[in-house]
Amino acid sequence: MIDEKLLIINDLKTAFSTSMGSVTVVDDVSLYIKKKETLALVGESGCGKSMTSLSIMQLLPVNGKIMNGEIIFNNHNLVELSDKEMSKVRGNDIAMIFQEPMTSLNPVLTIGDQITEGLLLHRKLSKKEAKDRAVALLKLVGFSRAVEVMKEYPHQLSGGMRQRVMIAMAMSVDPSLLIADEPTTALDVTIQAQILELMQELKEKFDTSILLITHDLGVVAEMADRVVVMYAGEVVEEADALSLFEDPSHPYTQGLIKSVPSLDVQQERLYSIPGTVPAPNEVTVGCRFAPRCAQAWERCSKEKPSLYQRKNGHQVRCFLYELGEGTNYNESGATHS
Amino acid sequence: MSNPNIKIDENTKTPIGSHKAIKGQSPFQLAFTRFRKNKGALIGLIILTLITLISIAAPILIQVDPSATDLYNTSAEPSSEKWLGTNDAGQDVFARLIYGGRISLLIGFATMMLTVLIGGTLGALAGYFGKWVDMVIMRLTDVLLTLPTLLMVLFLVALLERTNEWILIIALGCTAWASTARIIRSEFLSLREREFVLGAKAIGANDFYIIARHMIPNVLAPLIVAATLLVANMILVESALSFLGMGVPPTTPTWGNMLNEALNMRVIEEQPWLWVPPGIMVVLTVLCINFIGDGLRDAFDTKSTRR
Repeated sequence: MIDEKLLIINDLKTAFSTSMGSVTVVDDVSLYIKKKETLALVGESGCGKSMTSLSIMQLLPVNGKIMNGEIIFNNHNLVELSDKEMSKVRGNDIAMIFQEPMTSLNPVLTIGDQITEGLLLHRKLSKKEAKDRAVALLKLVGFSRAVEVMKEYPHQLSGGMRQRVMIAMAMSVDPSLLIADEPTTALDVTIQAQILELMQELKEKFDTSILLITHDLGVVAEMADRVVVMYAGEVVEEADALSLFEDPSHPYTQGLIKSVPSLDVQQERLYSIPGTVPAPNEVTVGCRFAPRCAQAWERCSKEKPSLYQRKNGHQVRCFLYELGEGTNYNESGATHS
Repeated sequence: MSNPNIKIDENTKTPIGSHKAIKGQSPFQLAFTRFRKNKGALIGLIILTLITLISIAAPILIQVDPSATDLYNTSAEPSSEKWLGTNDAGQDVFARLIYGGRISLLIGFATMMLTVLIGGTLGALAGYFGKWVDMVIMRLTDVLLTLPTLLMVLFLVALLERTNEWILIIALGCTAWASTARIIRSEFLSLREREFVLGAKAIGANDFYIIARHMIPNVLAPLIVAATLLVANMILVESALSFLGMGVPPTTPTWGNMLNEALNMRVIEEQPWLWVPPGIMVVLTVLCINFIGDGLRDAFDTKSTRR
């Protein structure tokens, strides 16, 4: 293959130990990111998308643990790395941007202190060199007064500016993978577009791959090359962005796309998927989406569907597609069970 | 054209409101600005500075040896020569008062530093690492908090069968750190969950780097407030110990052991110049420090910004 895979996750299973026992939040997730590609990980709150990213970084909360699976990055299995080896990967090969630009910068350190941090930790730069590079980065992310901003504190910057600082911080070490966990969720819409545009620009400039975690399909449409849809800890659909929007296959994905407000279609009320996400500690036998699925039949609550292949690497976890290419929603599916 | 809003900033030369006015002000500088507006705290700071300077300069200001006894001139009343008279050993009370501040303040500040060092470190470790580290350290503080500091120090002094200011400082420092540890631990517990700590980890920083560079600067505000109030507390404890005769030996004057002389009913009734001045000094110093502590707390409390 010409498209080299930068990151491969195989059968990742991450669980939390709670007072109610072990709760699996990421269940047998497999995905990959090619070099220079933007992969969007989509799903509603609590579906395990953030936990997948924290598993990659090995930064799970104290009670979280990777139970199974491998995360292969540049031919190293990150799961097997020691803490010390891992801290050489973090912020060096893999950088991360967080959702909340208001709280992800340290309030008592200057912007300059924080941007140069990664450079001083991973690159053997002198303070002066790190500072020059930080100023250049700030200019790159759109600060015209970069030199002054270096001496300022986070409380003096607006949310959008802080997110630019976060991006500059993440890109400072020229990572090969950037994980962006809902980078625009906390920003207002006009700033969102600018930040996305900036990320796209930098991605092309630095040849970075991006793992974009979001629940916003608008962001997906704008940014992603490929999309992985997660539901209740599982991958339910994987496709390139174009096919996902043209031919959403899993009933959950269809529901997600339907619930995006549209200006073209007159709607009385916005569509919403009925029901709620199952609690992670709920034991489900069949398809996890079955209780909310309008197209479910009895087999769905008894058996667990696996990922079925469609064309061009499009995969769907739904019995509707069990027969392979060409099958689509049909009632006769019931007779197969 | 990729960053329209930033470009507007540059061209119109009107960057985000009052940006110019508060340029480069760290949260500490902002707090100091607020502190300066607090009259009580400012007066407290001035008086405390004066007391400290006079105490430090005592050997220059006072030519009399505060420990020298003059048996021909005992229990003298205040006069133009001996401003506060002499005690029953004929020692110059005024000289002792000035010199006494040295020991009282030394014990106050040195103990505070030791306490902050021990309590701060243990509290930080407990709060950051949690689990068994937290368990062990917190049970230790629980034990210390159930025992009154004064009693513990009395016990230690009795055990060593002698005292001087350094023994007192170490004894106080080793017993008084529990409350500081608790404050720092609780601050760390909430800081640990903040996103910038996760962010620092995502940059590849190790635990001790994160504690030293990211977390400690964030607890400086409550730490400074706690430390200030500790100084006042320690001065009081020293006075109490010396008053009980278990503190600094009477050859070295401290405000506490000057008060010790007031154990005598005759002194209380007939020679107020022996015990009123050191009493006033202790109260004044402690009051000043408490005012400063309150001022600092208000200054650091971001909720009071809207005043």
